[in-house]
Amino acid sequence: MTLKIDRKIFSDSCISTVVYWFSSRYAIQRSIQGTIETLTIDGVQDEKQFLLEFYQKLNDYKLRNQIDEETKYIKTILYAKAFGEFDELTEEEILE
Amino acid sequence: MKERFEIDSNSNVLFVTSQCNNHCIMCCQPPQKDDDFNFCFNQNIKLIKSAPKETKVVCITGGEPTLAGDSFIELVSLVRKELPLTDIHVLSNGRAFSDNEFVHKLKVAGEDKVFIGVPLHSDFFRDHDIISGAKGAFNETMLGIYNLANEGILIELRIVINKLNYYRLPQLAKYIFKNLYFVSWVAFMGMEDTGWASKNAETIWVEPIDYASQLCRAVKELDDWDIPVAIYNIPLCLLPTEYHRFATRSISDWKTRYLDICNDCSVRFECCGLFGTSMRNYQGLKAI
Amino acid sequence: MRKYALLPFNFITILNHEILINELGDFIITPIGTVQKILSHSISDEDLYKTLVSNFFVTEEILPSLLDIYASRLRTKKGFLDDKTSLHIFVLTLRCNQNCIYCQASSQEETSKHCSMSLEDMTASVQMMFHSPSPNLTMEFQGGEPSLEIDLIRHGIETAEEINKEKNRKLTYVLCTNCRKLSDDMLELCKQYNILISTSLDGPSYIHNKNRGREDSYEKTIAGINKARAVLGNEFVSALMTTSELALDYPKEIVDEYVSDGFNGIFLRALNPYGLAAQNEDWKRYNQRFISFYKTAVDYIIEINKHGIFFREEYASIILRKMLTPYTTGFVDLQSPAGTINSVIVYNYDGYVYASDESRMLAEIHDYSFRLGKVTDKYEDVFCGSVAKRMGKIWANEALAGCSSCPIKVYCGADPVRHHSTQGDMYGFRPTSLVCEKNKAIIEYLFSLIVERGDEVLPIFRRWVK
Repeated sequence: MTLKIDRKIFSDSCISTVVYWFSSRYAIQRSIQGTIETLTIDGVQDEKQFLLEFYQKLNDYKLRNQIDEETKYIKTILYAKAFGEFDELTEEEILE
Repeated sequence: MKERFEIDSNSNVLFVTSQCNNHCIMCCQPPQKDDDFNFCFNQNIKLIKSAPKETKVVCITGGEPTLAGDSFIELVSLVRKELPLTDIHVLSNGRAFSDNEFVHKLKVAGEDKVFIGVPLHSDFFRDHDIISGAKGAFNETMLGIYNLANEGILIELRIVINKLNYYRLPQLAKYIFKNLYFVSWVAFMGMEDTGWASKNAETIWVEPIDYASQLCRAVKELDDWDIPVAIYNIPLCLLPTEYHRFATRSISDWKTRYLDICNDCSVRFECCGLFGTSMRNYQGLKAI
Repeated sequence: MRKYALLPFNFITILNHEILINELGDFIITPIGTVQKILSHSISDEDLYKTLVSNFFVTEEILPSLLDIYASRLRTKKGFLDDKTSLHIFVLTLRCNQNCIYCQASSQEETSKHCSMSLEDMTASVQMMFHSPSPNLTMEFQGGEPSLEIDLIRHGIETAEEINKEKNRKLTYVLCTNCRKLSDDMLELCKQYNILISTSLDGPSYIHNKNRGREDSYEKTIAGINKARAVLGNEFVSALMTTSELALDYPKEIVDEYVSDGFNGIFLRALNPYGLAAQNEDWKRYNQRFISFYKTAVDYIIEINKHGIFFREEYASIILRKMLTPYTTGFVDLQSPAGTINSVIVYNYDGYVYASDESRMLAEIHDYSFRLGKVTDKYEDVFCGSVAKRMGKIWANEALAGCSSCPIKVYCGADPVRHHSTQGDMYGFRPTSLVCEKNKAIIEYLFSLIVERGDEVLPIFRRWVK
């Protein structure tokens, strides 16, 4: 079966993640024209079930990506605060 | 207030000031604006010098005692020097401890026998700020508690139950376990109907029978996690029997009052009784 | 609602609820559709909003005032890294007096020669152990059957005690034995140095004896347990089970066996899939059967607890500790960065150091990928050598395909050795990874219990994780 996805709605990273999870069960070929990505999927038995699962995952990863995007800076600061050993650096080392 | 300290009393008080930088809506001793630091300080020095060396505990309170700044530290230092065996219990809103140098000075002055009672009104900052009457109070208090813990100073959390915070007591308990699991104990306190609590009764008064279920869920969660937890100021007849073990006789001896019906009660002598200073009695009081 | 910004979190859908999980593993159970509402700033439930703010899911400040507290808690959660390697496994010998059907240690006959550690290598291994900066050092003696090498154990402990006079670490000793031949001498040594005994018990006799390849194994093990308990005290004797294919049909019977033997917990361990790619389909089936076995057993254990008996499942307890408490969890199979080298190291009878127990078993089938060096090499060259460096690039699940975006990665771990041994690639491919499938199923199952039966199971779970 083939599936057309608008990359303005679902980003490359979002589609790639979902394709990754389905790749153990299906051979999936990807091609892009303009903003439309076409997926050609081999070996689907129950198309309805496949689509349900595929779009469920697409939507979930879209939300996750959006959260990651909005929080990437604060996440960096958080991890730097938690694990950076700033106290042990001398002023010279910081300036270097 | 006493003229002299008594060895076993739970109300040997050093009153530092009547000023406060919080304006808690249920405050039982509303703050004043007078500059009373020097007057109080001199009084306190006399009390400390005349106190019996075996005095078990002194309570440093106010207002907000940390507003005295360095003379607060001096006071702690003096108690430590004059009364080396005595526990020092400070009641503070904790905000000044967001300055870690100040906390360090306190640790040096008070050594190992200082514990700080800090009120925490909610897990949600704005609810805490509204109850404290001060914007930003929650964040400062939380950072203060962390600084105290880093210095190894013992912390008691005090939660005064009112209409604005009772329904989130279970969430608050979870918050304490997750974020403040190092505190020495947590006290849930019934309100005293006096001062601003009376004035603001419409907004904040809530009966123990109306919050008992939230209170018990919160107590159970903390107890499940082995965080010592106590219930202050709520008579036993208003608590389910299995929660009696958490209730303590918390009301200062000079304030405690019992009713006539209490004479027939089998647990009168384990019960905290009522505030002598309260304008009203709780609903649902009975001999058990 | 006020204007707010998001803090990092992820979510998973369980039984028509969205469970939101932050970087600490703290979670909030919310109605389905909540994430969408948070992202579109249209939350109408004020109470939920307060919970989101107070639990570090959203913030009204550009840089949250309490970010230092969040960071401090995050550091606490990864506290297992602070100490470095604390579990030091000493494989004394391959000699054994049993023939377990699933033996992965390639054990040899009791009388075999040339498969035991030399005294010199023991000395060098103990010396290397003390290079680890950890204030707690656990020496775990394994085999084969280590109790066949009592002189080696004594030598190891005496060497450690001697060095420790200067180093002042907290030493713990563990003897992993089948209890078949616990001699009086052995028990005396255990008593002298407070050695903990960890034995293997697979369930009732009809399971245990079949697995262990001896008709009297169950009887001997129980007798050994009782003998050890009598000398050392109950708290010094624990048992582990391995779920053979036969065991899969008897979850309740196995739990009952442990309860009646007076243990207060059980570790339901799956078989370690060493059959590799050849029998892949079999392992897939086994994995799925194990998952249902596990659920049935845990359900049954919860019932037992409801009758007032304290009895816990250890694997669930480890995961629940990550879910429900602010504390760190030092369990090598569920760590990120992985437990291999960071928390556990193996000194093998062959005089080489390996990254983990599984690594030295691979060496028995001539796969030396995780051999770090000789016990006589320099500590730095072994613990920070080329193998360690290669593993270091892929041992954090925060940075692995399939894991990094996984909502429950915070409860799971990275396992390069397992993926190397089952998939031929230590990076691993999550869609077909059995360990991924198993951990996901177990974590989701625990969540489903909390969602569906929270009031009933949470008080029990809290007792398990304390």
